[in-house]
Amino acid sequence: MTTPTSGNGYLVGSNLERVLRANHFAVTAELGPPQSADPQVIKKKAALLKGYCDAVNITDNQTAIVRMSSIASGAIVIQEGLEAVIQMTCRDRNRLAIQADLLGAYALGMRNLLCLTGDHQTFGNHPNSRNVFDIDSLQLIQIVKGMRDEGVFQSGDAFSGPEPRFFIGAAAAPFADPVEFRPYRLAKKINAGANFIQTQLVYDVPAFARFMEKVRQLDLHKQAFILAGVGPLKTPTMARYMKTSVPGILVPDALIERMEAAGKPWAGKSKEEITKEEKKARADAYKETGIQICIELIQQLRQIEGVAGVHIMAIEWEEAVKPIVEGAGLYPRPMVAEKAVA
Amino acid sequence: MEHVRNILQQIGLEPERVEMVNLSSAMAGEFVAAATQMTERIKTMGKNPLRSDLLGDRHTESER
Amino acid sequence: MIVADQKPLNELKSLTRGGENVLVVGCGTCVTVCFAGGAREAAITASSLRMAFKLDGNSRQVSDVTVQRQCEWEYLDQIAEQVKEADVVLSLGCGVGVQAIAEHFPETWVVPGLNTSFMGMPTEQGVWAERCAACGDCILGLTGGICPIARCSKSLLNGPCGGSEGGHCEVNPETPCAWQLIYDRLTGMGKLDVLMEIQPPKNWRAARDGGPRKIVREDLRLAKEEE
Repeated sequence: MTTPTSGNGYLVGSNLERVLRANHFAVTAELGPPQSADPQVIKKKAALLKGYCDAVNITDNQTAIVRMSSIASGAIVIQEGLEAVIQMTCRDRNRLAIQADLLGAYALGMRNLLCLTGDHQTFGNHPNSRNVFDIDSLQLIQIVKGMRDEGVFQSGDAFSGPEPRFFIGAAAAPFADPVEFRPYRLAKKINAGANFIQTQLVYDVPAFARFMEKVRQLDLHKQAFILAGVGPLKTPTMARYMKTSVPGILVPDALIERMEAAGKPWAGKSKEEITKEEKKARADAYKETGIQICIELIQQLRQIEGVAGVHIMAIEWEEAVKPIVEGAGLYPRPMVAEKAVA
Repeated sequence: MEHVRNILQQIGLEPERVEMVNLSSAMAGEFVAAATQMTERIKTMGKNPLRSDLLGDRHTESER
Repeated sequence: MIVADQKPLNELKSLTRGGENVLVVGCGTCVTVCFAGGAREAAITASSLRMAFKLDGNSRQVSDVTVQRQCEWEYLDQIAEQVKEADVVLSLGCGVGVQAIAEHFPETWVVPGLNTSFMGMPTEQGVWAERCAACGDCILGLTGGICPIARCSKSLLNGPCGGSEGGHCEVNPETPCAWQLIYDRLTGMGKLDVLMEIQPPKNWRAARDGGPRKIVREDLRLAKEEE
């Protein structure tokens, strides 16, 4: 490998990179910052995730809703003793702001970066805002790689002093249209410099296996670590919503039926009839089934050649990560020493 | 027709003041019915306010 | 063509407030063919305003005139007299037309009667769609003749994003995904390799981001002087 390293045999040497390079099945989780300036929210969520994942993704104004910034939240997460994966979208910043923020993120101790295009602002809480999209996710990957490996800004200007060394991540949407192009788009991201990939939520394992087959044909799994996205279903309604309304997510009917079956004991009761206690019991039954399904998905995904780990997206339900990781036999998380690899 | 009604509404007139009916020369009965219906409708809606306004203007003028 | 849309009558009333003598000026070019500001629309707008003013109980004068092209001085010279008599000119031209009138008649108060929307074309009777964003650095040669700057909601150069579903953009199900169109066209022509190239960050300086743009053709200028 000709890519310059941090002098320790690793590109970056982040915990996530070390775990992946040691061929452990990696686990990342997601943490959504609050819609307030409250650091306690981050600390509470971090406590739920600590020890159960190798790094925590911090979303960047997820679904175009204003939240505490990814980098600021990441600094708190690091203080709490976890490793962060900073998410960076191209929606809100131009190339100047992105590069400046990345210099700062590295200075604050962040080592992993997920490069995203970003959800369109019309889906969020400031739909009248202007978007930026000065660059796209692929170009972002190239820029971050250029800063890390060549010490140059996007403009081509070289800079002296420490370069920001990020373990570069990218997203993949295996089921979005045009489906046939998705493995090639992944190839483009890896060619651009992505070191690891986190995919959109997978519920349809056979469909994902087909995607991975193509990925293996293109030899992509050997050039980047691919983490399959998983997430526990909370209710049958959520499952149906994702199936029908979220582009690029396939939810098999069997899974929806299984979620519905979990609510069977309370079926036939009208809104007025069902008591508060029964409602809670039903919600718990749904959650338990959702977590169980997630565990099984992880176990199935682990069998697919080329899947290097999972990325658990328990949106506003960080409590679910612990039982999922334990249930999938992925606890405790490996400790890989910071020594150089051969 | 929808466009014209929209314009009338924006001006501040009742859009129902215009109507288009397609009839062939052999449809005398339908023609009478449509004309009668339209006349009735206009009567209930009252005078074209633009016209009454005009009269009003003249009135004030003569008062001066 | 430049595609525009008429402002609501209430807004026109408010914009022309205070003017006793309103001149509605139509334009015979782009906005005529998109049925927003041609002679016909100018006459209807003038007539609508007259009726609306009358209903409001005032007797303001509204007349209309249409020029071949509002965006060229020589056509504006033809209506100099009418413009001079008006207290306010309501331009049914695109934003260029409004500004041309303002620049040509420094003493005249000019207001826009249209919202200039985009550069596009009719895709069917009564439907216009955006096609060009005038970015100043055309990349249609890389994308099979389909512009992602104007037609992808995120103006991606390396699309499609994950929001493409069933050929449509997640931002608006009525908008075709530009990158699906590009993909279909390039694969249909056996040119998938073009899509495998990573397009570098765009030079947005050629677009509006570099400041107001101007094209100077010295050859044409000289030719004019030689006459």
